[in-house]
Amino acid sequence: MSASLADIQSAMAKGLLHHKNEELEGFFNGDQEDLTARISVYRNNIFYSLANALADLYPVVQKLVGEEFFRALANRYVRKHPPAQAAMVYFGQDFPVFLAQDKACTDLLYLPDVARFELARQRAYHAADVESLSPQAMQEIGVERLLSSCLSLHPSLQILDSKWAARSIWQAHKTGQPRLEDIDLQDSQQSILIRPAYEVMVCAVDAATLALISAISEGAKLEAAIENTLEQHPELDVPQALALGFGNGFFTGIDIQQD
Amino acid sequence: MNTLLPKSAGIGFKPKHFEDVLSGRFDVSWLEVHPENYMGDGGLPHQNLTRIRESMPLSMHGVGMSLGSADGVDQDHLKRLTALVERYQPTQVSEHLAWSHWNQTFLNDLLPMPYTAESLSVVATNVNSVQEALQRTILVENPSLYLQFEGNEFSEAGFFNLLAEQTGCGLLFDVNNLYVCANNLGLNAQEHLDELRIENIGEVHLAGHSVEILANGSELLIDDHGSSVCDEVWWLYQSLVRRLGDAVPTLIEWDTDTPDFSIMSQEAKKANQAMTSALDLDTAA
Repeated sequence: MSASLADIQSAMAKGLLHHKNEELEGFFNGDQEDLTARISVYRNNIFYSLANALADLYPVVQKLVGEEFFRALANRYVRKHPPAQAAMVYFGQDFPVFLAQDKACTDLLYLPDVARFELARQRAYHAADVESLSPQAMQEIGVERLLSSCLSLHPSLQILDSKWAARSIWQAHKTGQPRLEDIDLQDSQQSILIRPAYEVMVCAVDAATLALISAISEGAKLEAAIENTLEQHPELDVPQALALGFGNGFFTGIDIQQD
Repeated sequence: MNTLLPKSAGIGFKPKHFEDVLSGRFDVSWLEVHPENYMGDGGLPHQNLTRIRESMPLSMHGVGMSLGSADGVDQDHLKRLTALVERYQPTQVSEHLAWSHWNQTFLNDLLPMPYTAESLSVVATNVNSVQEALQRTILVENPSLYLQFEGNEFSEAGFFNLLAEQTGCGLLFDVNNLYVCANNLGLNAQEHLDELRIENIGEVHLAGHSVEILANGSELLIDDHGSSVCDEVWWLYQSLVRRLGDAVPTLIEWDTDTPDFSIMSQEAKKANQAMTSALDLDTAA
């Protein structure tokens, strides 16, 4: 055989992903019709298993567009963004961006945000296990010291700001509440997802709380984070936002800054 | 024999069977998982795997190392596997004779490679890097094939014999895969067993396959792990056990349309019985 193993693998990877059998038929024994059928078994395995992996990650997107449409989307996605890793937990991370650019989805403006919501759930589900600070920790440290601290966020915490009712659409499919027909699609929704133990929790928050948690996540001292947030969101209710955060395990550490 | 697992039937673990596995209602002697399913940082998958590991021997059977890749094993993937092996201390670690990644693209299927001196050198190098990282020998599984390369320089059995000799790895012998290859590529199963150094076998896999009729009317067996083990594979399995002259760790795999755990457990029981009767027959003869 003259072709090296690298030549074979390069040709097979291209030929299988991009439906070009002529690039690989020469490597195998058999007549062309037979080879076409046999090569298809491998190609089908690749596309079928990856579409399944994508459907596992984005079940609500699949429900919204229907299985047949989703399979076609998945095939286009796999050709454009094939996995780079064997662990499927890393696959499909570009799907929300892909949906926003895919021509067949241009009428479904809310679809990329529903996908972002599902991706955030997956990331929260697989994030590292770290114990959260309890609400008592907030009491014990006292307001003054808390203000001059940097708070570290739980590794599972995901911040989602949507121009659409992405959370309600997801909840409608998962729990039946609210009913899909009752949702105002253009209802801008902010959510924080977190998995303090083994179940992912979804917190509906207002834009001001979302901005505060975002500022904390960027490493700002709490006092500075509050000041910055108040400039854009004078309605920020600081005690309520902190109670929500400590009550739901958002924070895992308090680093008191020395001035 | 390169055997560390219990010499009895184990079951391929599915998360939906978690409660059944730990319920004590079924006789399970060991379980096998795909380490790729536990490569997230934390959460329920790790919690459940920890509880399983506490209650029975565990085998980690990789599907993503791509031992046949000419551009080497993916170091990130190897690091993740090493971390899992250190954390869970599985009794056995195994992988496939196949390739899946090329140039940063992972194709998520076990793709075939020719049996040449070049392939042998690539696989041996890759097996050695995995064994070095894990600080233990692994078992390598024979593939199910739908295509036959032109210009093979070795038989499959000859290739595995040399691979084991060069790397010290053992063989995970999938009986269904041998049956699928025999049908799809015209390989003679008994001649294959005659040539194969069966003392390298550390574990056996049993699974079901489906039959696809191609456009030209010929039959192709698809290794879909979606049904019970067929009679011919049970027969081949018993013939292997007689040749081995000893019981062997044997896994029941059922990955597509996986049934209730009670059915999986019945298949495992059937494997234990098949093993016993094959050995009894041997003693009687």
